[in-house]
Amino acid sequence: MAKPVLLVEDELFVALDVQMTVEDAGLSVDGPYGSLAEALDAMERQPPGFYLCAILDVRLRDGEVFPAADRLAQAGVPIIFHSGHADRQGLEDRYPGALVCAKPCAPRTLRARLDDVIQAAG
Amino acid sequence: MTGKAAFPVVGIGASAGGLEALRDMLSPVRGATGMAFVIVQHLDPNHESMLAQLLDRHTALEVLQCEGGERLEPDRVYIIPPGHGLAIRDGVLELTDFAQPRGLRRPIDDFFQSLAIDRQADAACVILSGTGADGTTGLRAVKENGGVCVVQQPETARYDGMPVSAVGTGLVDYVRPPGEIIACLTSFFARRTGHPLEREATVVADHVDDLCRVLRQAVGHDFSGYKRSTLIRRVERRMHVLGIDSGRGYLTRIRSDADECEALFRDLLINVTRFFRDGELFEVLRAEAIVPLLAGREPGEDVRVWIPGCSSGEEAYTIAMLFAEAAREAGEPTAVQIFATDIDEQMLAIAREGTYPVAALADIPAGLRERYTVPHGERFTMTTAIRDLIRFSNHSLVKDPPFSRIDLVSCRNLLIYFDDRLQQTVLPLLHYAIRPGGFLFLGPSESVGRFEHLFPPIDRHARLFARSPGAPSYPIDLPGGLRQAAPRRDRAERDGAGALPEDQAAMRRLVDRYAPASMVLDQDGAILAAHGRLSRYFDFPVSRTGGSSAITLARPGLRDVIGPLLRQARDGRRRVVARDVEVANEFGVQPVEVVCDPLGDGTLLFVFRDAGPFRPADDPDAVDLAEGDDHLEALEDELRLTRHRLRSAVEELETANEELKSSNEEMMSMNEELQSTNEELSTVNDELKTKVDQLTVANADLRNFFESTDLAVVVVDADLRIRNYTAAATAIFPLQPVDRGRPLTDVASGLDDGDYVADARAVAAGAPATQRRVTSRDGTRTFALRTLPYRLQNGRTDGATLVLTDFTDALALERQLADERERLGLAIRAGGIGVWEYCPDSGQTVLDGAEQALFGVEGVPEMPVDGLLARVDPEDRTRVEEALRIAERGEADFEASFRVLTPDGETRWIKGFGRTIAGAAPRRMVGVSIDVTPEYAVAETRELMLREMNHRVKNLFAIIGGMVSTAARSHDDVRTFADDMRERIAALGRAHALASPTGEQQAIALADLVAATIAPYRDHAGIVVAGPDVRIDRKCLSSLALMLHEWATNSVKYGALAEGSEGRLDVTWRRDGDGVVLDWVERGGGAPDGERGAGGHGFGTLLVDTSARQLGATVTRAAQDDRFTLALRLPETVLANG
Repeated sequence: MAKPVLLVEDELFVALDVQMTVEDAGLSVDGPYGSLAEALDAMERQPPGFYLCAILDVRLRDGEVFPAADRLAQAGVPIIFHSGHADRQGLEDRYPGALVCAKPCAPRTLRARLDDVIQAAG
Repeated sequence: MTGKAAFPVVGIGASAGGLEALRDMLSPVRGATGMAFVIVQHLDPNHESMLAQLLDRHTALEVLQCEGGERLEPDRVYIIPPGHGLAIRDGVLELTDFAQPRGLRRPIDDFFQSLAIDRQADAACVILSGTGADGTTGLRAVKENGGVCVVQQPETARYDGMPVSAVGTGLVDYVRPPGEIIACLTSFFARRTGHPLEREATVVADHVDDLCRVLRQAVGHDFSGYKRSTLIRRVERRMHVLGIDSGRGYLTRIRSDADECEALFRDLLINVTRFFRDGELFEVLRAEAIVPLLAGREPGEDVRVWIPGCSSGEEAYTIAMLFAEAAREAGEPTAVQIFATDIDEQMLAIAREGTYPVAALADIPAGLRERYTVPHGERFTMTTAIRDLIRFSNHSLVKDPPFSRIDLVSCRNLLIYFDDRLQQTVLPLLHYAIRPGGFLFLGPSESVGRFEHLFPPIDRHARLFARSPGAPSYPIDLPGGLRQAAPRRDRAERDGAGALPEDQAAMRRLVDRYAPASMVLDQDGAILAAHGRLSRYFDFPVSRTGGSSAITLARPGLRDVIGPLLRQARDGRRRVVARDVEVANEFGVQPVEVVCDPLGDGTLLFVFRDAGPFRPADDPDAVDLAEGDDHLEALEDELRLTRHRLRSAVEELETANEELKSSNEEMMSMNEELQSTNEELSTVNDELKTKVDQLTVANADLRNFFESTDLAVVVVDADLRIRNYTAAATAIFPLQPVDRGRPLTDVASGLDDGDYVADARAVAAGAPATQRRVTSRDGTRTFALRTLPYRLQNGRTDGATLVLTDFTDALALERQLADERERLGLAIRAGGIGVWEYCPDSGQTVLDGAEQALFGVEGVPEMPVDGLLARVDPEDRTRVEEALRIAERGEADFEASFRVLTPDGETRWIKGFGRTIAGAAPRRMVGVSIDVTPEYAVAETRELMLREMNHRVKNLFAIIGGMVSTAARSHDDVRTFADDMRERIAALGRAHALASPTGEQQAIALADLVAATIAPYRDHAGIVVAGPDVRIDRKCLSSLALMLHEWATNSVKYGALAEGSEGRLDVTWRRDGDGVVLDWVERGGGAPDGERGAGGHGFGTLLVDTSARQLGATVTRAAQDDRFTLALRLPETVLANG
């Protein structure tokens, strides 16, 4: 059984879209979580290595996603940032190896990133 | 008086205060004067004299500074150069070197003396202001040589020392204010020309005897024995002074004018004397006479000295000092009695006082000076000890009985004034006065003449003579007395004077009647006197062809005897008797005895006593005897003739000699004043010197100023006549150098009105300085005209000074500047620009009002820079300080933007610019500050908005993208899908139109959102929208809008909003606790409820559910009859805060 993908996205339509994209890839989704609090809460319940990867929006309703991202990075979970305003350079500096997809992002692009992650995990 | 041009030469002596006097004296000169002027001043040898330049301005005469070698020409003024004396010789000026040290020089005296000798009666001397007594001696010389003397009126002199001293001599002809001196001299010399000296002399000479007579009656002194030439010269001079041109006229004047008698008397007595005159001769006197006299004096007896003609006493004091000094050296008391006599009471008064100008001290040897004089400032006095030795009295050597038993007579430079005859009578008188072994001391040009037997010389050069031994023979015929025609008024005053003629008569009677015939012969046999009946022994022819020789006149027989007798007696100085002398005459022979008795004074007394009865002549004998006698007689005759010739020759020689001597004496007497004391110059006129210096500098300054200044200055005097002007003034007043002295009113001006004349007049009349603005006639230039009083040194106003300052340009500039400033001020005010100044060294700043307001420190115009920096936001402070430091060093201008925290909590953005002023000391920075807070706020907002818009757009794209992806899964029909999506996107668009484009408004009214969502369906059914004012957070806008849109779409498809349905829709909401509950109620909808429910499983339902989830809202559906209700409960988070 493949590991689920953690999805944190406060915009539900976007979250739905991403979720469908992930599920089309044959993967399951944990989430989507609309707030940082919900995301952290979900992560509390799971062991660190539980996720195959994480797709994270940066700006959430209750703040930025970085506390969650830090923990994921610490646990070695690959991260794909899916954000409309984050600056790519800042994120790549802070999380080496993280991938960044600028919102709005074509489903194909996101799918390619996801494939990269699976490939890397596989 | 050789061939040189005869024009008068005026010597002018001046010292302190002389410049002023000279100016006054020379400035009235107009045209030719016919005189040459020589100015002698006391000048500082180290200082160039400005006198020539100073005088040149004031006189029409040509003024030259003498360089030596100039031949004098009329109408020129020659000025002594510094450091030299001046002399004149043959009409040529010569520079001389001073023999005396500074302070003792008397250049005026020196020049006057040379002038007197060179020009004689053509000399004039003028003595002007000055201290001391220089010139006084010189004027005596001028006067003695027939010149004229004028002295500045002492009251008009700034320093009256020299004039007063000159007037004090009593020899001055005129005393005049300086301005009248030239006129006085001109008329004096004018009177003289046209009267050649010779003719005048004869005219005067004709009256000399009469003049002497008048004088004798008036003043009691007989001048007939004085040298004629001197007398005539001096009388002539008086005549010139008085303007009388005939001797008769003067005689008339002198008869009626006692003052003129006195003046003539004084003129005749001009004499010069000084201490130790001819010092080396006094040394001879001391060694040869004074010391021996003191040594050989009988104990208890005083040495008696007589000084006739002592004048003002210098010679008497000289001799007194010599005696005192000799006595002191010998350690003996000063047992000396000196009788000093003169006929001039005025001089005697001076002599008695014993006070002389300090200048005369130089003549006295240092040792004596210290011992016997007492200085009192300008003058000195002889000590009492010396004065007590001398008795001054009025006594005439000529007319009064002489003193007797005198040891020493010093009679210097007196005999030169006497003619030969008077000299011959005075010398025996002196012989009488001096006791045997005494001394006679004469002046250097005097001699004892034929009386060498009375006064054999001791030292011929020094004119010191011994009195020959022998009984004093009182010269009975007092020379003045015998010639006197009328009894003199003072005759009776003399002791025993009345008895003398009676004695004489008795004696004469005795001698004539009762004594043997006798005769007094001189050593050559000339008859001096004859007594008794001598006709028996002498043959007195009717004509006096035989002369007065006793030998020639003696009758045969006696003739042979008288010669040998005379010689024997004369040579042997004892009585000789010739006995048995037979005197033959026409009638017979008389035997006689002849006694020859030499008298003390060199004459011989012959006494004839008859030795027997007269024997009548015996003819035959007579023939023989006659032959023998004839031979002897022939020899005698021949001898006599030879002797006579010899005597004639000798006498001629002597006469010539006498004449020579006399002219020499005359020359010497003229020289008197040349040799006379040089009055010491006591005060050099430093004041004048300094003033001239200052004046020269000031003048140069002034001239430079006048020539160089751009200031137009015109100086006018009290009568508004132009005194001076600057070169710049000629631009306004077309002045020429010749305009000086023209009235200001006559001068054209370039000014547009004439008020300046009124100003000048008022100010010159004493009004205070005025100022006015005037414009040039053409109106292009504007001047500030200041009219100031022209003040003299004493503060008196004497005219006005007009100063015109062209300030056209300044005015324009000022106007321009004012405009500029106003513009700048306006700009600064309008821009709310604060201006500041910062002094880095003191750390102090100066702030204007706007700057204070910017920093929130109103009312503090000055404060330390730290105080200002404290107000700067700490984040910006370091940056500002750094920028200031760079600007202080001048590396760059100051430019910084920073935040200021004002006391009332505001943050203000300030942009500051500043620049260090180049070269200012202390360093200074000036700058401005601008409040840029609004600009900053706008920029910030814009950025914020852009970010927000960016985000929103991206978000919308993402949402739309998401919707498209999601919807695509539940739609089969692309057309429907597209329509639905278009509707949804349009709804989203409408909703977002509600959100403020600025992004500021985070809240949207729920009513607006509802209205916007259902707007397309407004006309479909009755729609009621109601509820309290609830505001929705902008973030929830999309979700809520989509949800409402789905509901509305459903309603259109299936419910109350469907086309053609009569349903109605109520959308109401209310507060419910923290949240809001929105009720969507449809009535009379078309589609059955079941159908709608089915729709809930399509994409629309997913959309609504997802949106609700997104909002955290709950949706409750209910359907009952035709009533379809949707209840949406929105949590608090959906609402906008506030």
